[in-house]
Amino acid sequence: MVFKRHVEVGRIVLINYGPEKGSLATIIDIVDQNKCLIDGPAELTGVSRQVISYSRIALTDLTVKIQVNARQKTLVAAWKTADTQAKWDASSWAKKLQSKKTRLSLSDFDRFKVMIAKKQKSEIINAKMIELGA
Amino acid sequence: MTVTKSPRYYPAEDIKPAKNTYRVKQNPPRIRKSITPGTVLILLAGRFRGKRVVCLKALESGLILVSGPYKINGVPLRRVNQAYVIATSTNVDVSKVDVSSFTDAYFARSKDSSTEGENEFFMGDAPKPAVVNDQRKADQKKVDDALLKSVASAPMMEAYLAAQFTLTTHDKPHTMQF
Amino acid sequence: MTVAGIMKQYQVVGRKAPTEENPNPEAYRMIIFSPNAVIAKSKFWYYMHQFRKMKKTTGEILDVVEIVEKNRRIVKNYGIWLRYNSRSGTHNMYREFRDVSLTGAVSQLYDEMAGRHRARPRSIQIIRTSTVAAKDLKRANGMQFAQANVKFPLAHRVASGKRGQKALSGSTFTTVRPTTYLG
Repeated sequence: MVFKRHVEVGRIVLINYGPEKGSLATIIDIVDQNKCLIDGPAELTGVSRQVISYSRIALTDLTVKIQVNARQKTLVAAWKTADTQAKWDASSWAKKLQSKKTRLSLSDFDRFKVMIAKKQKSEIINAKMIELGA
Repeated sequence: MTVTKSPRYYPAEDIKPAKNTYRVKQNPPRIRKSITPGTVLILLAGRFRGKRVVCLKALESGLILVSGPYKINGVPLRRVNQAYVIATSTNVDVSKVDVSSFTDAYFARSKDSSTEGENEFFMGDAPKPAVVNDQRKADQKKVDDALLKSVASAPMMEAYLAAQFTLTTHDKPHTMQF
Repeated sequence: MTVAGIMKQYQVVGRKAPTEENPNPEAYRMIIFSPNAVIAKSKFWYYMHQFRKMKKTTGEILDVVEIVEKNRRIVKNYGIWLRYNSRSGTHNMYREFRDVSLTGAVSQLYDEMAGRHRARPRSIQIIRTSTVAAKDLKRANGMQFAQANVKFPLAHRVASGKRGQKALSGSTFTTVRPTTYLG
């Protein structure tokens, strides 16, 4: 098993605990074996500069090219040039999170519509399966 | 020497001063914000539990006037307690429905004197079938005609009202949005 | 001091109470780490009566100020010299920590002394603290994180039972093997 995601300066992480759960951030320095320094940048993701434990973050595949202790301004510029937000939104991980969020926010009527749509879908699939002689 | 004269007469027994009586003013019960005329409600108790119905208005007693409509899911014009409904965010246009004639008095039960008395109770013959009077039927039709029109104008709304509300595995009603 | 927790840094100034013979006694200033100002004053008298013939009943505190780290934005290396009483004697020690603030490093120190040496806060005395340049670091652990281009994977990630999320060991039986490799 080869590791592809590393704790390193410039790695984009997803926060999975606390008030900023679900937000992206960038590692800007490594404190020790348990903690790192992250910055959103706050302007783009709403995560302010802070020390965070590795147990509260998940490493993503994305990185940006920055120096240690990069300031917010350079960080924002690095995100823009790397097109990080768009790349993240396009990833299946982000899509899954988004669809989970959408599912949770559905109203009762919406859930009913989904149920009907699901039935129609499986009807089509079943008809096709019979047609194929399966 | 005392300035004020003491009274000549003392009652033999203490007379208790009359207590201040005051009437408690009964405010009309508050209907929760999520329930407005036109809101689709899910009934949670009674013989129509699980049905999705349309709220028509709140009555003076704090009960809510609902209609299925009868043709779609079999729920007639009926009063329900707001504690036993879930209010959804879905709305049906009820501006065309005239519900001004419905009050709590309209739903009050008429006392049928013939069924009273011990004799009747024990010796009574076969139970009479419940008869819905023609006035009610006419009112139901009048309300539902207007209501069905606006239900038909919203896509899938009729099927939605006809369907029962159920919870299945992994459904957590406290985290669900309605 | 009986509790540790998140430490703060205080500057405490105190002196002997002025008398007829000595109306203007010498004042002493001390930097003390403690969770609050009350404990800081108590600690001041504890240390003071070891160095000079002074105690709380015959002295007075002139000033207690919390010292707040100015730059909490970058990670620094802190060296801390301390002495502590173990079960068998007194030891001097030097330890290094990486943190954004000195108080953070001192909090780490108290936690680590408790963990590694079972030392209680009351038996730890901090002698001196300083920031250390990366090249002057003495301890291997600090050194490996203080260099440029540090890079390492997070191996064997075990979901600990956090609020709103189940621990890996939360259920007695399961039909799926847990995943600890997250790339």
